Order: sequence, then C-alpha cells, then structure tokens
Amino acid sequence: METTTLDLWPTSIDIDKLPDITTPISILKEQASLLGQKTKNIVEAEVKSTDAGNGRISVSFNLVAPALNKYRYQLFQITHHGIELYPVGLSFSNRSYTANSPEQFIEHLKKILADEKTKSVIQSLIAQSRS
Amino acid sequence: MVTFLFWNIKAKPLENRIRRIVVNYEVDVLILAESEITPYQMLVTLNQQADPMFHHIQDRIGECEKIAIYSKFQNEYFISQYESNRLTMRRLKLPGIDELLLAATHFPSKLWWEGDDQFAESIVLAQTIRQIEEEVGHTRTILVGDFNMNPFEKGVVAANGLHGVMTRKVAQNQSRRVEQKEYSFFYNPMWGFFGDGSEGPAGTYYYRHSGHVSYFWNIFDQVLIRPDLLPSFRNSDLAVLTDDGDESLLTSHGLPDVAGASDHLPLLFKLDI
Repeated sequence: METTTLDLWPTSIDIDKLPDITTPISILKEQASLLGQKTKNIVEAEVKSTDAGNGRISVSFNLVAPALNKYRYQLFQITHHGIELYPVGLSFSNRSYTANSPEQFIEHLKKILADEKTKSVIQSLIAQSRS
Repeated sequence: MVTFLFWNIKAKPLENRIRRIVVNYEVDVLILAESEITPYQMLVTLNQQADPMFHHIQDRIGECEKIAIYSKFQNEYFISQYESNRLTMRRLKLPGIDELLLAATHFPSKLWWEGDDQFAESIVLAQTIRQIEEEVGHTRTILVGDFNMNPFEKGVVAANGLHGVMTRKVAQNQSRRVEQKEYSFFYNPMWGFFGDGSEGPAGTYYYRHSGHVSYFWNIFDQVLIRPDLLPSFRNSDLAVLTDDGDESLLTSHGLPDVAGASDHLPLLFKLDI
C-alpha cells in the first residue's frame, strides 16, 4: 500500500522560492570584491564571521596584503543578532555607529571606506607590497 | 576545466610574455619557478585586463621561495598543507568539486648535484608527498615542476622515488609492491614528448653537453598525475608551449629562445575537475 509523506512545512521556505534579502555580510562581500578590482588584488579584503556569543554574530572586514606574507589588518567590525539582521553595530577606529536599516548601514559604510584612515592604510599596504 | 601553466623563467623579467600566455591560453593557475618578478609587478601586469583578476597565492609562512603561484581563484581555495624551500603542497578546494592536492617543486640542479644526490633527494620528496596524502586522506594529487631530471632517471622512475611510469595503463594499477612495501604510481605523460615522434619540440630544455653523452633535448619540466586523477586528465590537454600566443618562444633554429624568453619551455595542462 502506497503511503504519502505528510509535509507540514510552508512552501515559502523552499530555497528557490525565498526572496532575495540583502544582508550586511553580502554588502560587505561586495565591497571586498570591489577593493581587489581597484588595487589589482595587491590589497584584498576578506570578510570573516565569528560567533560573538549570546546569539550574536560578529563580522570582521580585514585588509590583506598577499605579497606581505598575507599581512592582515582589521579595518572595522560589525555585530548583529544571528537572526535579526538589523540593528547592526559598526566599530571603526575607536568610533561606534548603529544602523537600523540597510540604507543606514550603507551610509555608515560609505563614510568608513572613504575615511582618511582607510585610505592611508590601503596606500601603506600597496607601497610596502611594491618595495 | 581548470588550466594550469608551469614555467621556469630563469629569473627573467618575463611578466609581459607570461601575461600573453595567460590571456591567450586562458590559464587559471600560474606556477612559476625561478621567478624574481615581485608579486606587485606580476599582479599589475596580469590584471591589466584580466577578468576575473589574478591573486597572488601566498603560502602559509612564505617558506617556499622557489615557486610562485598566481591564480584566478582566491587564496582561500588554496590551503597550504606543506611548505619547504623547494616544495609547496596546496589543497585546492574549489566549490562543488572534489579537492585535489597540488604539489609544485623546483628540484636541485645538475649544476650542483650529482645524479645520486638527486636520486636520494627524490626519495625524500616522494616520502613527503605520501605523508601529506595520508594527512589529507586522498591521492588526488598532481606534482608539477622543474625536476632537473629526465623522466627516465632513477629519481623519477624508482618505486621509492617518484614512481612515474610511462603509460596510463600501468599507472591504473594504482601501486606495486617492492620488498613487502606498497608504492603508489604516478602517471608521467611527459615520456610522449621526447624526440620527433610527437608534435612540437623534442623536450622542454636544451643543453648541448661537451662530453660523450649528450641528450641535447631534456624533459626536466614535468607534470605527474596520480591514478585517482587520471579520469580528469586527457593527454591531448597537455602541451609544451612554443609560443606565448603572439610570439614564438623558440629561436629560428627551433631551440628555446634564452635571450627573449627562458631556457625552459612552459607546460600547459588542463584537468577536467
């Protein structure tokens, strides 16, 4: 006798039916990829997630210089709840920001990436890789 | 399909010729021996137009000075498993495909070492490879490099050496036992490139020795493939390059153009992984 499986899950969790959600990590990965293109991969960026405890995820945005024995510099860090994507806390150069939406997150990120300190670190890594 | 290029560039500033090879032959993984080109210069040159761009694949601690690797695949896919001055072994873990072990070497030269020295050292090299294969738990291994030995020399052929055999059929037996010890085969497809019986040059390196015994053409640059990777390798996907896609790497006499390129010719091979 043939039996049918009782499936109680909603169809909205099927992987091919999920809506595209822009997460803070996906925004960071996109920016990491763009840095490599701008520096011809002489300075790259990597995005590393770690469990920050209490159900929170911490994500580091590191600058990497492969020619300097993979020297790594943590430019900034974000933290958010493992399930709730916002609010996101950003920590950069002794400064802290909070973003309550993707728009605010992008705004803070833009300021960090354009900061004089960011430019100075990248220029230093390129100069040292060249020598 | 992943395309690999190995070239001993004789410490020459050949970055533009390398870029031409990489572009014209659609190279994914570039492995250089005797490279004094800085990673900065190599990346600036390779990435003039490359899409995706090349990455400098640094080893774990910068210990392997004789081999430089650049790739369209990011650093995170090349996991450094073993490094010494002359040997680098990386686990290549590309998404969605079985991991392979990429070993690259620049073996000591006959200028400084006798054949017996090379044979003795090849036993150490083979032991290291077997040990790393045990650590990673598979033998999906390729070994590429400038061996400074011909495929018929003891260090390449001996069971306790690299154990490289000339036919796929023999290699498919996986291993053979000598004095109660089992030794895995490598398939050495380079045998087929000797002399005039195959297309292209008669070797990868030309040296006219003044003594009685001279081979003239040698095949010091080789790629060896473990039996477990043979289904991914076709002999037609291996070539000794004689041009960079635009200009010849040979002189008008058909010998490696030492002035304009290197005394070694590059090896290009593909794996369907």
